[in-house]
Amino acid sequence: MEKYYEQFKNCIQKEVPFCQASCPFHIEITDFIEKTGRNAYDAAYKTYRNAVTFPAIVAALCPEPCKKNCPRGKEACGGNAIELLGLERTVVKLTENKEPVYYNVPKKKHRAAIIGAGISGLACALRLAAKKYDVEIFEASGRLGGHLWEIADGSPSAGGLTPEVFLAEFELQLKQEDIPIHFNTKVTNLLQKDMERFDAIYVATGKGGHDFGLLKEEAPLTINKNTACFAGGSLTGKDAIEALAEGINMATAIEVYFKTGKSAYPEDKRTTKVQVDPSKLTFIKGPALDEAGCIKAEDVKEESERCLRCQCDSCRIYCDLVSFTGKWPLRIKDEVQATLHDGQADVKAQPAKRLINICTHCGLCDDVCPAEIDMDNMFLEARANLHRLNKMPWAFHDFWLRDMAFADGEQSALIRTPTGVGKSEYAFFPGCQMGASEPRYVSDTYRWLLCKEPSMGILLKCCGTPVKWAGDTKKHADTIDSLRSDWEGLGKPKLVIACPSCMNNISEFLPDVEFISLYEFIEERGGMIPAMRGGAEPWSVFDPCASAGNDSLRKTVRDLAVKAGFKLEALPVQENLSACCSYGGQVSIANPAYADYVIDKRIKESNNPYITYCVNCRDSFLSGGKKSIHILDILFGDDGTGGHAILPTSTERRRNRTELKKAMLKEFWDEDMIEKESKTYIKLKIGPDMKAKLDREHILEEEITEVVQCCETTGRKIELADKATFSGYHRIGHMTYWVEYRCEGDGFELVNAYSHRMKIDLEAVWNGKRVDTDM
Amino acid sequence: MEKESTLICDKCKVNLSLADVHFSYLDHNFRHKVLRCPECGQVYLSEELVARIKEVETTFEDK
Repeated sequence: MEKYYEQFKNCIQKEVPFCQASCPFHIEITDFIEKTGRNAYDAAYKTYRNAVTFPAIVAALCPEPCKKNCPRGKEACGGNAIELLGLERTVVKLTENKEPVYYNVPKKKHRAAIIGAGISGLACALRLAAKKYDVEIFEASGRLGGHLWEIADGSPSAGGLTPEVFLAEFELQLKQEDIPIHFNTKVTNLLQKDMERFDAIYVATGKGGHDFGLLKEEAPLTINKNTACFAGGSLTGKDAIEALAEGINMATAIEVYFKTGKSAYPEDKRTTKVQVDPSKLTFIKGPALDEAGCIKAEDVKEESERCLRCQCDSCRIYCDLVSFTGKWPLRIKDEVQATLHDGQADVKAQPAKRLINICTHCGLCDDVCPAEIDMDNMFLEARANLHRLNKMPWAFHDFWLRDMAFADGEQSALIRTPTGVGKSEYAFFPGCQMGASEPRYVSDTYRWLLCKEPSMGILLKCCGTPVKWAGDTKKHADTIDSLRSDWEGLGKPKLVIACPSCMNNISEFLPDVEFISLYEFIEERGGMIPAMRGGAEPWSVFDPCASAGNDSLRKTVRDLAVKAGFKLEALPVQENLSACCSYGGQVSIANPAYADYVIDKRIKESNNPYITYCVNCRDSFLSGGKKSIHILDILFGDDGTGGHAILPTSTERRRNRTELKKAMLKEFWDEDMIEKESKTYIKLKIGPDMKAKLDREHILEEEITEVVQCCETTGRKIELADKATFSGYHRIGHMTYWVEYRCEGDGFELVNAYSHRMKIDLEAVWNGKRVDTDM
Repeated sequence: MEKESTLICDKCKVNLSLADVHFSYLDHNFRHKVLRCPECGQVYLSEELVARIKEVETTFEDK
């Protein structure tokens, strides 16, 4: 897993927007703009004050470095940067409650002296005082503000700032803290007696002030054994805004010194690796500013919405798992890492067991991520690790593995060369779901293929993907071995594969097996006269996720549809990026709501009906009520529903497989299939509502019949006297199934059925004769 | 949940009564009082109770 964890170091999701990076205060712009976007001025003011300390002063004097870096300000985008300062000024103007917050935290033992009551010193003092450090200010003059007095002339270049404004601001922001200010007190030497009681000193004596020899030092100087001396602000030649920001940063550096004993000047990173989706860079005109540089209240929302919120969110836009869970990749990685870490389940958190099992493995993540982070394969390996560590909840995949076992069993699998053919040049590989979903897709196609290629064999079984998704690497290897042996038995034919997922699996795990997609084979053999014709209605081809990167396959399917007269319209997103229909990764049992979310998202991409070439995609969309057909419907004719086929239940899917094998054996080999004797012999009537319920809950009718039969043969049943029904349960495999039924004629009628994964312990005891086991 | 008096073990012909039953799933286990035949031990879980059991299953799967 390490190689997957490593790649997250390149994740730029936490990189800040350009404006925030260039801002001396690193204001959390996305938070601020979200609040202005809903005209929450008081809340926006708090965000602003938390960053700048003295909002009225910063809003007046800020030289707007953000504007130079705003992507909306770039020429390509029309040169109309977001008016952040305008928004800030408006917030300062419109906020009703500016009362500073009093933080009720315990008093700290450390003391700090601030030399200079200019803007930098005051900011540093206020920050430390708010954290309840003892702070005293020493000011050589008799007033607060330092060099602000020189620039606050009320002119437009000073943002209209006057001494009245900044003095009122100092009074407002400092009112909650008790900071002794020693006016007319000039400190001449840091070693002087009254400085000894301080653990840190910040020298902010302003432009041309005394630096006490600190500026020539690269790091803060330590005097009197443990008093760290810092210097900054206008003393170092900075303008008012930079000086104020430095005062704030210095407070943090001083606090670090208090807590750790390590003294260092704060680092001020002004860069970001964030990238903006170029498609977002369109010109939208900015608002007009009034004389005071404010935005009209009615324009604030619009201006906030104009902000691109430059943060990398490609994964959230495209990856269903990220958007559904709301978890950013770094958190996902942390959760996966914690889950797979060795240790007892009872004593450690395993937050990602379900998360690992809801990736649909569409492979979109590394295509859309600027850092090419491959979460798909990380999740796949995580599943294998969960399985290896015996932490995989069996229920997530059990149903699909039983389905696969049936597909590969005697009643479904069909591996043959045509009669009289020893070795097949080609063999049709339909995949295990096609015949379950729509048997005619397999039989009609094979009939056509046989006409075109008389040596065409058939390899009708599962490609092994379900065991791969279940993380069972050993079983997957066994499945691949078995598939190889079947393929060799047919004479190592070139496979004609109908399912794009099977194509990927075979390409990866049986690299020496030659194959071609069914659709390209059809084109290669001159195509065919399609049975269905398109009309005026526009359709969209939905490319399955497994077709990603296979341009030839994608083009062929479109060509086939167009030749049949279908008017095609490209899907806005899916046309270039292949997301999953929800079937991938068999996620619907681990998280049914997520599967529904994915289906809904794909369906809503277009109002057009879909043409698919993966039967699972077709089934997913039909289940969501979307008009959808398979490309084979166009070629061989549909069922007459015009894109509204009724999906078979899980039970019917198994029957379809058996019936398909039986029909094909008869038609192509003139053989009668020896059907496996059923385990059940009782008659159980199941109404349509119950059939639908069983299907929803992944319960097979055979299983339910077996439970009723078990109740009747063992006599283990409960009489529900008031309802004149019987209830009973039986454990089959991992699952416990419950039935409620009544006698009807020479059989029974199912009234209700449900199941659970929890095992009723000592069932074996109660199943037989009672023994004296004290429960 | 079904009324106790209406539930009769068909094998032993006695009414079910509440008794502890042990459940286990994914190396976690717990016990809960459910209706059980006092003679043969056969239990009855209504669909409503199973819905609650399913919530516990989800918790165990996420643990």
